[in-house]
Amino acid sequence: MTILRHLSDETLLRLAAGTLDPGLALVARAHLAVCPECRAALAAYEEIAGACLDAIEPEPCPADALSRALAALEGESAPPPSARLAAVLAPSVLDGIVLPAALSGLAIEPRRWIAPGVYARRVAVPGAGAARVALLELAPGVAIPEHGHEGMEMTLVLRGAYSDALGRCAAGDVTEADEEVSHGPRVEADAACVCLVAFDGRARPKNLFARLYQSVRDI
Amino acid sequence: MNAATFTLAPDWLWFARRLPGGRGVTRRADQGERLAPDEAARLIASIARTGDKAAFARLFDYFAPRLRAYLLRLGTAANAADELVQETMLRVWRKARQFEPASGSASSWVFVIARNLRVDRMRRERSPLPEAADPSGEPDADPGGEAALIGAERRERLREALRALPEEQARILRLSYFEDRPHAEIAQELGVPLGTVKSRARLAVARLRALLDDLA
Repeated sequence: MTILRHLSDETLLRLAAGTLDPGLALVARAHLAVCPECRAALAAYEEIAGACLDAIEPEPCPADALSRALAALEGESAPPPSARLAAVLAPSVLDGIVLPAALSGLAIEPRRWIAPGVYARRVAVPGAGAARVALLELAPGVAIPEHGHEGMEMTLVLRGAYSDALGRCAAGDVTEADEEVSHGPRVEADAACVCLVAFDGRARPKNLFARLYQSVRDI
Repeated sequence: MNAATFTLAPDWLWFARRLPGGRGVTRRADQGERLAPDEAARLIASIARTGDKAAFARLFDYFAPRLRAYLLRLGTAANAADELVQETMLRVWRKARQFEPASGSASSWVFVIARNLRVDRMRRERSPLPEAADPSGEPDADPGGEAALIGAERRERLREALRALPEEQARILRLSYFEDRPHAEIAQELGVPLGTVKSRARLAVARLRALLDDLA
């Protein structure tokens, strides 16, 4: 898979620092699983976060903090051997959609009709802040009317492809659209397109599509 | 290895410097002491080899007050922060054999453990459902890190370049991403217009990106 569209540096920095919204983080992690380039950038930003930790003004801990930790380690003469859990998760499949490992263990609601050729399943994200997450299934050739965004919309293509003014988006590609982005994606004619999408912020219905879009966000 | 991957050069202090009008905190002599270059990595290796509790205590003295500061700045309640610090340091002990110096600094390894524990905790607190995934309570096995090794030399170049960022940009990076403060609040605190904060943040991120591309 050749990935042409990557996570923004702002998103990677927040992910590294632990300050990215959980719904957006879920989609970002699903992209990272297939993108070595973004994994390398994330590792660099984690290094920066480590440097920030080194440089932070320390806040004194309670006086008994160390003795509590040592007491908890009592009897542990040495760390256990690194029986590293092989986190090999069989890819779970939902109606023929191979789900990213980032979704494992999360509840996925039944498929709902949104508009002709558009279906959505909401993903329940534990601890989600503002962002809602959904799996969107778009029929071949479906064209979504031109629309703007309020807040952040992060879209990872799982299967198929769509194109918009910014180019083509295929499996593995991730896009981040914010207030400054307006687009009208069209699914390629030969295959359905499945996307994992996080919506952060509220829709401001302006036209017919915006209302449809709102119903996707509100599922 | 001559890379000073751990101590802070004096010009690093801007990163920790209190902001104008910030609370003045006097550092206690017994808290948050420094470690010599690469000492943290050696201490972790010593724990892994022999279960060295003195090494653990040194690491604790260095990291615990810094982790506590990070957690408090992100708005974690003091008692929750103390628990997370304990959990993080216990995990440092238990996972010591998994630490690989070639793949990143000790600071970023410890940071990622604390970060993941905090994120997990927020999930549990906000989720009405019992947590089905991850019954071990283990944080994500660093899905970003496994294939993304960052060698000691690249790591040092990264830190050097970060030191070379203009202070005004670096401060905004730290406040905006590491401390998760809204741009409007940063603007108020620094006494500059919102647009300036946004443009400095963009410049700083662009510099980091150029740097990563150079290192690639």
